[in-house]
Amino acid sequence: MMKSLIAALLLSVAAIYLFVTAPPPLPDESSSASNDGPTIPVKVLLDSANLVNAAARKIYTERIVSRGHEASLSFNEEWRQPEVESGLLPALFLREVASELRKQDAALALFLGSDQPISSSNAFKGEQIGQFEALTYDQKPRYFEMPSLQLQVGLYADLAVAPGCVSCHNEHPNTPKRDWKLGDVMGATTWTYPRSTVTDRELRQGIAQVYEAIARAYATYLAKTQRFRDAPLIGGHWPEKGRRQLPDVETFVAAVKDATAPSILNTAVLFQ
Amino acid sequence: MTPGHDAVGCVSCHSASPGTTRQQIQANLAYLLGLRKTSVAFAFQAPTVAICQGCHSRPDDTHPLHRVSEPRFADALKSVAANTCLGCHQEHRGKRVSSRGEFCSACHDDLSLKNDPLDVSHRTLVAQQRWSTCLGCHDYHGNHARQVQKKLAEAYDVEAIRSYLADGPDPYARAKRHLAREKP
Repeated sequence: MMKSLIAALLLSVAAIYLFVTAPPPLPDESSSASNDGPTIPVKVLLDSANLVNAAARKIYTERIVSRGHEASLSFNEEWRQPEVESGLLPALFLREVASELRKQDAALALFLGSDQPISSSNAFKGEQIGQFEALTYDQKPRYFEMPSLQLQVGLYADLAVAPGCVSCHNEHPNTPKRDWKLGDVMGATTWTYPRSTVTDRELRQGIAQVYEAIARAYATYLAKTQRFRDAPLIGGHWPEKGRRQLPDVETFVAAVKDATAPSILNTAVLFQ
Repeated sequence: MTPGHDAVGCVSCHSASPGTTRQQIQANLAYLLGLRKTSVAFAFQAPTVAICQGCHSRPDDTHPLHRVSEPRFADALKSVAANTCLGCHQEHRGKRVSSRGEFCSACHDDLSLKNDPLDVSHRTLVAQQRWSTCLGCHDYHGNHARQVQKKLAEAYDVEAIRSYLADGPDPYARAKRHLAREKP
């Protein structure tokens, strides 16, 4: 009887100490997002991030890599080796953007994969296989959740947009497929985010982080070219036949912003 | 301490947990009762990836953390939590690598190279499950300034690798591509 009384008394004291007279509770980090205004489906952020990245990749592929070849600039998967005087291939540019997102500690993450990858470590596995198969029929994005990773996932078709995509993948010694043609779905870009909704601030921050990652990835390429024996001129001009020149970061990012502004307005501002 | 961390002070990696001890007890009780979604560390917080990368981030890491954060590696992460530094490098154990060193199978069990540079094909090594040989040629983060061997007989001895993953001498190369920064 006495023991129960003492136990009840101790519990009461502990409850008063911890909950009645205690200082204000610490904020719950997981609830901060929901306290920051109305929430927006994460699909809006994934779509916005993908359209910015897709535009940057298209500009890099067509205006830097394809035109760069005409200006005697080369691009190689061994580009990072100090003795190799080459730039990043488009797929590796995407990987560099993914790395720069991570360096910003962004909640958004970006990956590239395929069912016919050059490197087997880029092959889809598990849930992604079925989702990618469905995507190849209609080329429409697929959205799904991976509870084991606590991630929301968006999968977007990656098309062979330039002759270089087709020839490089068909001719690579480790390619599992040699009959790619323009317009084929060569793989998919995967975006992940840890929550199913975002606040307006998180949406704007996520999009800004993608633009910043693109700027940093392109800056990495420019820095590499300045170590070439015949370094290209960097300024306001794009490479063209006989002109070994490259746009500076501001010019490159301005082109990406020009190409994406109307779509971002519709997707992330007007929600159309 | 992990080899190389002898001169690293506690507060270089651990920041104080928010709130008073009373608030921390309160928050964790609420967490246990299901009244809040996140718990709170007592006294000091565990180091984050960002803190590790303050000194160790490298532009050409051959296994960057974000690569294995992809959905396709969900099953692999059950074998080895290679999406965080602490998944393999737990501090205060006196070892370079705290996870088992033969985890390559988690991601590379379907490895097949058409243009294989090694004299014994990677496909054969995978089929024979010779996972202890991988690190004999490949250092995981690729931070040693060296060329990868092209003959399996020249791979470093398994025991030499295991010793290095503990706290032994480095068999790969003396020169590193990037030195750890002394301050973030």
